Amino acid sequence: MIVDAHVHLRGGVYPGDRRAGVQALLQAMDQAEISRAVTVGLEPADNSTIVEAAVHHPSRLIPFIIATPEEATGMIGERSVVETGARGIGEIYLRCGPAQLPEAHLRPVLEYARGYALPVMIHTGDFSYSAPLLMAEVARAFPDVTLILAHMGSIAFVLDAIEAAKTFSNIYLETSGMTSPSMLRRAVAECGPHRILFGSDYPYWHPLVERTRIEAARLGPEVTKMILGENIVRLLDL
Amino acid sequence: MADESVLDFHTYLGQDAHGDHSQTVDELIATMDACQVDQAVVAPFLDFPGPDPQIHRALYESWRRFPERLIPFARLDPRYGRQALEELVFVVDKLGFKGLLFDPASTRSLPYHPKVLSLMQAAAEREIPVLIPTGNAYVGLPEQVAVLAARMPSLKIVLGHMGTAAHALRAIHLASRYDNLYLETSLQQSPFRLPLCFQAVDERRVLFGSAAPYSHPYAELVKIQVAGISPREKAMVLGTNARALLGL
Repeated sequence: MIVDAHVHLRGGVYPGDRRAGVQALLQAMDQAEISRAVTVGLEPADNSTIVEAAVHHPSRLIPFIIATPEEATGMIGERSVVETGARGIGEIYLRCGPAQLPEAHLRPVLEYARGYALPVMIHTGDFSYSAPLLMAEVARAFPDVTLILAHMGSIAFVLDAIEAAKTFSNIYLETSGMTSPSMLRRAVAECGPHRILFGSDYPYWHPLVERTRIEAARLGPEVTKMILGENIVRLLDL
Repeated sequence: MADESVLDFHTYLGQDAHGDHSQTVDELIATMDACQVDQAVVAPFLDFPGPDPQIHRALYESWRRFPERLIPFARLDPRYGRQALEELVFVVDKLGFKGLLFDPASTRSLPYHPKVLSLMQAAAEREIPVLIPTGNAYVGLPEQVAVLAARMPSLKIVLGHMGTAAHALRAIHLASRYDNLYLETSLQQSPFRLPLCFQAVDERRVLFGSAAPYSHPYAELVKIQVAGISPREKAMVLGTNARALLGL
């Protein structure tokens, strides 16, 4: 079973891009022969749509909800996320600014995640606050919270992402947008194959292209199967 | 994969400074065969002058082995002024190299800096294209390359990676303004921006590239296949446009 660990129900790559949505997502998943996908949000307003879509397509969609540091504290005490069926939190963009440490900024979200034993997906791969090694201190401060580094630092920061995952066993690497076959092989060799998750970041990128990146890396059938689905199934206890 | 005759406008041979990425000519040709890529523009991983003074000689030898498959580009560091210029003259005028790769990030050079312009002028005089990787670096933003394009309208400049995903929209916008800017598709992860290239920019200025081994040509070809562009546009991006630009 192939499981995409990173898709969105909204978003686009140019002004007026209206492709996103549940039906388009399912169509793209079918095109890439993907059985299930983890749907993540961009902001808390996405949560109801994500949960509703998962209710309508329980065999295809696995919901993550998003909680920003500003709103996470308020969410604690609301209806349990477990009741919504959410299996994780994300995709979070770190916006700590220069006056606050990342682990302090994210603390409300991480405590919330720890309370419900949910993994947290964090965007990585750009300059400034999305550099993956910023997450190393977060992983150190919250060893019992699983962090999924979306895009595994992308091509610009992939070595930093591998370094972070080598050091901290609570860091997982999600592959979308990381184009280099040799860096994927390096991540497998240095971090082990168990903490690498295939993702596509649809509708920004295409699941067939991103799946091809995994298969083109020639990791062998067992490791390829782990990355394409078995690892996220184990992580989320699907 | 493709019915069209495919030309990959962006690949590398050799190895990078620390050996994190490498590719021999036999590996490249094997990958091209597996992916049905007919020809590839190849440049060294390293700049000249640099740690390996033999990079252009090695590339020349690879080209001699596969003259129908490879299209060699020099790779030069403009900070070395006359030395870089003399190398360009030698590899283009004497050896027959077909273009220049200038990487603003690896050479820490702004594309429009006065010290860079003499090298660009020499390329323009020889009517060879300049491939400039662009993307997530403080030097190498599409806007910085566009300043060069404005100052040297006779120089044909290929925006390698078309800015990557983070800067692609602006790269497309800039290419719509400057006729001497071309868009190359590698490492810009979204197939869904490719139709926009054809809407916004002269259809002859979109070029397929893989940046192999920084990406696999097969994945980059799948990106073209799922992009939702017409068969004619597909043929143009996969080879027709590159051959026209290179005068092949």
